Amino acid sequence: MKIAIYGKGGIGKSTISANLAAALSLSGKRVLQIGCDPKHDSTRLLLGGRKITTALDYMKEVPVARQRLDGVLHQGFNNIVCAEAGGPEPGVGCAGRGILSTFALFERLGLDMERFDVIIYDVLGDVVCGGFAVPLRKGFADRVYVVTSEEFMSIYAANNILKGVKNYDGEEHRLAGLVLNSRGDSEDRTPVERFAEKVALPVVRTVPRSDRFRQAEIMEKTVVEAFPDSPEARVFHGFARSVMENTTFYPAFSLDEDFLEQTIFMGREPDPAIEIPAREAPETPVETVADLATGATPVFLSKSMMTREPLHGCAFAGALATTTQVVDAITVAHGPRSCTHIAFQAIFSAGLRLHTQKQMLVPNQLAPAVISSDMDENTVIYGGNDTLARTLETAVEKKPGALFLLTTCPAGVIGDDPDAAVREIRARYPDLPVIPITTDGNLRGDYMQGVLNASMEGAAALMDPTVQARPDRVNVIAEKNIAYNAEDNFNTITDILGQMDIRINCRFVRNTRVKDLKAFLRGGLNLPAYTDYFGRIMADFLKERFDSPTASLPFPVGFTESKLWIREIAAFFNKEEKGEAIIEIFQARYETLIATHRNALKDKRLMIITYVHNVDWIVEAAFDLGMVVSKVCILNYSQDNRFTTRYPGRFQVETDYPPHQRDTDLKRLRPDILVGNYTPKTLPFPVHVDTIPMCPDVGFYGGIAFARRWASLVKSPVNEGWKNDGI
Amino acid sequence: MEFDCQPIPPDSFTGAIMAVEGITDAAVLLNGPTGCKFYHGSISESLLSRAAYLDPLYYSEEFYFGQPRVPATYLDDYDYVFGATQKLEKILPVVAEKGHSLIVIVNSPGAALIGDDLERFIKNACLPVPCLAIENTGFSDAFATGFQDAVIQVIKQVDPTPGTSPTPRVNLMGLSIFHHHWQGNLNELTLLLNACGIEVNTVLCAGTTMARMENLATAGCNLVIHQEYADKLALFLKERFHLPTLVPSVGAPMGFEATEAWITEVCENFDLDPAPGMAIIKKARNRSHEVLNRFNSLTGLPKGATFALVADASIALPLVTWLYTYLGMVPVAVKFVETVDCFADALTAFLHRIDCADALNADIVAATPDIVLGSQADISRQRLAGYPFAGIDISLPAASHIHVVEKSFMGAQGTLYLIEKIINGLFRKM
Repeated sequence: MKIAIYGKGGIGKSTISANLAAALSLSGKRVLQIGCDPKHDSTRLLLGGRKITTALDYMKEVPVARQRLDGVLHQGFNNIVCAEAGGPEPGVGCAGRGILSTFALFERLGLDMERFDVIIYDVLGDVVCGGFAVPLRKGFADRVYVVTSEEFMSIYAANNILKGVKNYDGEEHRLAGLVLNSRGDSEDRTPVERFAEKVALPVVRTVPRSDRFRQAEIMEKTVVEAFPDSPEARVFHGFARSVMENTTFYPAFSLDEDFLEQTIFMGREPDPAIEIPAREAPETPVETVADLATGATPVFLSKSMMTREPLHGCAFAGALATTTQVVDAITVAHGPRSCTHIAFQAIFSAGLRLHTQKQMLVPNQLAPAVISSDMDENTVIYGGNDTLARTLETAVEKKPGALFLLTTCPAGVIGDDPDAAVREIRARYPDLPVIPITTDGNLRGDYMQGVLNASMEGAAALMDPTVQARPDRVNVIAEKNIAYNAEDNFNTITDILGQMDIRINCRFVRNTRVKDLKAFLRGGLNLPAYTDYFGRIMADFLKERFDSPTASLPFPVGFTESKLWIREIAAFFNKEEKGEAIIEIFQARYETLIATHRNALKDKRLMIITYVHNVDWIVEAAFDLGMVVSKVCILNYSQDNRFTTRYPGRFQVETDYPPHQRDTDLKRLRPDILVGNYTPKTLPFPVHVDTIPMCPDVGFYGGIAFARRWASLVKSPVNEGWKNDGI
Repeated sequence: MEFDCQPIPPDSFTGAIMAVEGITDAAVLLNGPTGCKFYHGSISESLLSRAAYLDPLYYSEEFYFGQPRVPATYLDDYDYVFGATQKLEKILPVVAEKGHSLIVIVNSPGAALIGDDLERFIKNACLPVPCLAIENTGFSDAFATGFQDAVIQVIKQVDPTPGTSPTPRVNLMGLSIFHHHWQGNLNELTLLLNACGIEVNTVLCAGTTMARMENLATAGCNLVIHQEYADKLALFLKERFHLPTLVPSVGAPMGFEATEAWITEVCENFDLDPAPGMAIIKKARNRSHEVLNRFNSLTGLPKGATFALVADASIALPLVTWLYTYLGMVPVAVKFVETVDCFADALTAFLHRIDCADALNADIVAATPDIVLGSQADISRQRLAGYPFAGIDISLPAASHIHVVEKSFMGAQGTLYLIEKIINGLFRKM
């Protein structure tokens, strides 16, 4: 059972929530209370006044990799589990967003709601934005109580809350009634009674005004704990029983403001000009909807998310670059047009470069299938669910094989509920896979996190787990969609595999189709394009979710990697003989290339400064050419964190290389060639500089391809004349 | 699937950033995530280069993320909840040290929702350089709206001193660095204006400087290039400085006739003789005739070749008119990106007159034109359809061609450049 207790700020929600929690726990229920108020005092009386770390503070202070549920869940009175969302100081930031972040944290850490008999959400006064309405979403509260007093502002707030509930209620109703927290016996209760009558809700409990609440508060306890035999405690025990026994829920009606003022407070007959909302009789009692959260989400986080580094790019863009690789799917981007434009440009630029440089037309990169909901100012203020529903409908009309939904920062900040729109579309088009992906711009992570989420929540959701592996079929995974040589590399790999009579079943996720993703498990082995952080996570995910094995080696670059890679694949498919025959063919050519350039490059000193964490392909070529590798300097890179080499001890290595150390190293090592991903601005003395790609060409000649280039480089003047022409 | 994948154009957020980045000594400080930063940092540097080097290690300090342009507060989930106070306090002095004449803090769409009090940060930072805040650039509004709103805010900040000039002097309006070949266009128009004795004062805002912005009220009038990007601005300048604005009736000076009409209207405004400008155009006309005469005698083209155009109305009107009347080409699809009624209505009427009304908003792919003029995204979409055609990228995103010699689509040389592209495109297609 999940109860949301709403009410105006200062009305006594926290006191009522805490006492209700105490009474429920004493009746033997396992209770979790979550305070959703930035002032984070909902659970104070359950914790004996103890201050606890709020979820939002915890997120800030503790790196993701070290975050645990026990950091945000705290044991209170009678084993009640307590949590506080926390939030910003008044006047800054967005408290509603804080609630969304808190629930996302609980989900990520795998908070198992099923462990509890009752969960109580104590929610700030008014439903002011989407964030505060989170407990009203499906999967969260299945019953709602609204606390009010006899005062105008309190009833006014209650009326607003009913509006919020109405927006989130679908076919099922969740309103259980009003709770009157009385300001005293002398207060006129008529307005509350009139209000209850007009909105067709019962006042399920009246909490009397009593000094015992103040006394208990001084003791930092609930009344239920401090004065267990008091009449006030009995009120809460009775309330707890009625909560547990209640099976009647009501539709939410709210009143027009003028009507509210005239009829409820002034006791006048309603002005005929004011339209009175139609009222329906309470429905036949319905059972609580048990559409519970799905439980723990496996934690597959990008490197930046794990280490709390600044986020590079946004999850929205990363996800869009991935979902648009499913060529017969449409992606709906919910947000302002700028977000989609920016992400679109990144995809388009890569496609354009492919066309310009390689005359390759890749349709889904030149014209990605994406529709923006073009969120405008009104949508931002009044919520974007209607706009989103319309955009999804437009997408469905195009008859896609699947529909992906991505959200941007503004959609995340205002707390739109895309799941509700998705449920609606799914209900109307049950045969169409409609898949929302966790993004919210960068609120849920960086570019790489978006790629991960789109692969795991998006493309993987299409996979049919009952499909069986077929002989001699492989899948390709973890290709980099923004790498301009991705298609060339894929073709090289396809060619080598073809020589072993091995076919590619599915590319996960690049230039693929819904049916290929459904049949993903026909591939008996996954071949990772890269075994960097991304490649490793994809491999772990496929193993964990589908028990689908992945080869240990990435697409090979350079001779040795290619040889080892072919041997691994050949061994898996029992094609060792074919594998060796292929290697033999390439070996002869490789040796010829080495011999051609060896004289020009022998004993030349090479220094490498790069973001790429695997440099063996280039080091191997250098060694084979008789060059000396003076030092390899690995820069911090947002997408990888593991430097490995087959040549330990043969050259100096410095990981997490500080860029400012470059000139000192250059002076000390005096390399003939400095290789990096970019040409540096200034150097302490003239030196030949060359660039290497972040994603090199795969195959036997990937490294040696640079031999020819370097052989001519060392013959060129060390300083080119044009460099003197700068302003 | 029946999806016609259309390009996603930029909106008012990009418009605002491009306006400020179009001032060579002003800088955008983005209060937003890196997802909004990288694109704008990259494109502003490629459109109006300021940095001598692109090595990201040179820009490795916090907030710059390896780019010379558009430093950002790299907002994350936590900043959205608690506000970006600490980062803003830290970034302002860092950017202020760079020697800019103006810093403009621009909220990303997400940041605009959390309501950080940017004015307070600016006040408390006591910066040695002027700084202003654009708290909300709009959500999905037109690029032109964001662009003009930002220019107006900059002008308000600069607060130019009214004055006069002894020589005829104009401010050029409605040109941004986001217009393809803006520099070449500007050079061409400046050449024509100068030839007629008219000086270009301030260009709002493409390649101008803060000093020029301060000087803008000394111009005799504002002269519009693209009305879509100048309508609000013109009203503002009229109200604030009593500066009149001349909107040439032909739209942008593209094609010989429109260029002639454009310079003539400007000269009339100053009571000057347009003959020197006309002489420049005449020379280009002679060259055009020489080339077209040979091409046409061998091929019969470009007469009768079909074309599709995707452009703002201020470009579409002169270009469609010229392609039809001068080259004899036939429009089969015409789409507006941004419109102003006067040019859109005039073009619609023209299309009716030449019995090509069906071309308005016609599907370009279905129309199978010989030439497509639009952004490279429009051209690529056509390319995927598989029909032979030639594409001319007249707007961004442009083709991946590295231009060394400056190109123009406007004025005399711009018209010759278009002719060169058209006849070579048709020649290759034959």
